[in-house]
Amino acid sequence: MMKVFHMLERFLPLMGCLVLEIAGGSPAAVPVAAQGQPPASTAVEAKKPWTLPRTPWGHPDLQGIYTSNDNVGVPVERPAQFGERQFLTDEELAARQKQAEKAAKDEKGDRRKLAPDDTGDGPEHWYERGKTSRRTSLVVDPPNGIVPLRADMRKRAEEWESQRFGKGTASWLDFDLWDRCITKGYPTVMVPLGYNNSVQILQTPDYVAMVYEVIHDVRIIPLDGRPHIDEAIRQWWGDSRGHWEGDTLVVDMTNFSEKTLGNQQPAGPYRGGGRFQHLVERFTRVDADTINYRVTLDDPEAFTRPWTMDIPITKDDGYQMFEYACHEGNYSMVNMLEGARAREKAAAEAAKKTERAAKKKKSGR
Amino acid sequence: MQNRLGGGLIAIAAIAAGAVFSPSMSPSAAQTRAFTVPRTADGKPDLNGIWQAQNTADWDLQAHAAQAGRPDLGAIGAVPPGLSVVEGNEIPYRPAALARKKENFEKRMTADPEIKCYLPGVPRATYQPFPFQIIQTPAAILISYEFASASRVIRMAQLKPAPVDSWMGQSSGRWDGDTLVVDVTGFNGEAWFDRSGNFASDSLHVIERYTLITPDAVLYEATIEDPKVFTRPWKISMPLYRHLEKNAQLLEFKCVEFAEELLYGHLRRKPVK
Repeated sequence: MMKVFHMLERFLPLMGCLVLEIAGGSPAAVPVAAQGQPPASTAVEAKKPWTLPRTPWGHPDLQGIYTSNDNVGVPVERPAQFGERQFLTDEELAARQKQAEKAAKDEKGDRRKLAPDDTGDGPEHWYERGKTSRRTSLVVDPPNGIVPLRADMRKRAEEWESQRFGKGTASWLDFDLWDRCITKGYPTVMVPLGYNNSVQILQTPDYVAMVYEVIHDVRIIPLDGRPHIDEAIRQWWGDSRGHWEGDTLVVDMTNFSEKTLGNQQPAGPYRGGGRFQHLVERFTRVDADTINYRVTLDDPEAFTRPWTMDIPITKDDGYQMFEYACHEGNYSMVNMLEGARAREKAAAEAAKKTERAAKKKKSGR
Repeated sequence: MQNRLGGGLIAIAAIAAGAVFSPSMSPSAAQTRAFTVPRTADGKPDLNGIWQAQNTADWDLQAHAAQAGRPDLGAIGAVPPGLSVVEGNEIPYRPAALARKKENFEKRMTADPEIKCYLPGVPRATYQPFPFQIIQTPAAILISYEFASASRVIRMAQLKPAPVDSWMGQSSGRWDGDTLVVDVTGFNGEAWFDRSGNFASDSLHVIERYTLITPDAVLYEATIEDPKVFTRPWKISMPLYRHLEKNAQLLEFKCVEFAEELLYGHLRRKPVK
C-alpha cells in the first residue's frame, strides 16, 4: 500500500542518490550472515489451486496494479559472499528481515558520511517495502549474479563514480535523468526504488499497456507482429513489440537512445547499455498475486554477454497510484543551480578580497 | 454510385443487426451516415485507437484569425486561424478572472504550462497538436497522450473525491448509452486551456462525452464548470479523428529536455570572461 504522500514528490530530485543506493544495493547493505545450508526449498508453500484467468479473447489476463515492493532490499548485483547461490538461508533471511524492520522504524534518516555536494536523504521509514525477499540478487544470469560489463565500460563507470561529487554543476546537464525528471529509464523502473514502485497493466486483443507510476511513463505494446520503428527513431524507452509464447508475454525492445548509456541503468551509471541495447522481457503470471518478470539485456558495446534479471511483481489492487508530477515541481533543480552559482560568486569575491588585501599590503610597504 | 450503394448496404446490414447509431444527439452526428458501432467483447462501443483533434483549439479555443508569432520563427511561429470550439464562442469569465486571462496572454511565452512541458490537464490534452491512444477495458480506460508522456486512467466507477489535487485530475467514467461520460475533478488549478491564457482554478469540474459518430471519428464534448472563474458552465466540442496509418503508434515526446534552457538557462554557469 501507498504509505508515502505526494508531498514526497517534491523531495524526489533530492533523493535520487539514496534511492540509487537502495536500488543498486551496495553490498554493505546486505547482512553478512552465516553461509550455512542453502534454503531447504525455494518453492513457496502449497497454495490453493489456481487457474490462470483469461481475457474473453483467450490471452492470459495480466491486468491489475502490481508493485515490485517485495524486492526492496535485494541488490541488483550479487554480493560476493553468496557466490552462485540465488537464495538466502533461513538465518540470512531472518537477518535481512530484522534489518528491514529496523529501517521501517528509522526516524533519523541518512547517517552516511556525506560527500560535499550530497544532499543526504530522509528517514528510511519514508520508503515503501513489501515482504522480505529471499533472493540474493536480481541478476540471475551470469550465475555469479554480476553484470558482465566490458572492461572499458567498467572503467567508465568507475571513473564516473569517483567523480560523482564535486564535479560541478555548470548546468542541468550535469544532473541525472531522474533529477531532471525525464525518466527513470527502462528496465530500471522495474527495479524497486524507495517508493512508487507500481505498474498498472491493461489489455486489449491488440495491445498490452503498462502505466508506470514513476515519472508517469506509459508503454503501449502492439501484439500484431509489426516490425520495430525505423532505426532513425531513438527513444529513452526504446520501442516495444510483444507476442505471446504459450502463456508468457514476450516483449522485444530496441531503438534505445544513446543518451541512456550513462544514465539510469539498473546497476548504476555506465553499467548499462545505450544505442545498441536489446531487451527481451518475459511476463508470466504464476499465481493469483504474482507475475514473474524476467528481462535479458544485451548490448555488444557494453556487455561481454547477455545477462538476465528476475523481478517478480506482486498484485495489489488496493494500491492507489498518484500523479508523479516531478518536472512540474522540480524546485530542487533551480535551488541546486542557484546554490552552485552563489557559491561560485562567493568564491570569486573571496578571491578578489584576498587579491586586494595582498595589493594593499604590497603598496603599504 | 458504387460508394452510395456500398453505404446503403452497410446501413441495411446495420438495421438488420438492430444496431444503428442514433444520430439524435448532435448536429454533426446527424450529418454522418448510419453505421454499425464497433463493440468490445463486453458490448461497449469500441473507442480503442489512436486519435487526434484537427483544429487550432490549442492556440485559442475561441474564434481567431491568423496572427504573427515570435518574429524570429517567421511563418512557422505564426498562429494558425481557427473557428471557435466553444459553444456560442463566449467563455463566461468573472471580471477578475478575465483580467487574469489577459495577463496570462501577455506572459504566455514564459508562463504557459505547455511551453514549460508541464502536464497539460483536461481538456487541453485532448486537442494539443499531438495524438493520443485509448486502451479500453471494462474496468479501466487508459488515455495515453504523446505530449509529455501524459496519461490518465479513467476508472469505470463512481469515485470518492480525489485524495490529492493533480494536473490531470481524477477521472471517473460511466457509459450513457453508447457515450462514454467522464467526470473529471481533483484538479490543482495550474493548467491552462490554451496558448491564449484561458484557464481555470482548482474548483474546475469537467464532464467529458466521447461518442463514436463514424467508425473513424469520435465526437468529443466537454462541459466546463468552475464557479470561482466562470459565471456559468460552458461547453466545447470537436471531432477527434482516428489515425488510419497501418503502423500508427505513439512516439516519445519527453519535452522536459526541450524546456530546460527556457526554465533554467539563466542559472547556467557563465563562461569566464
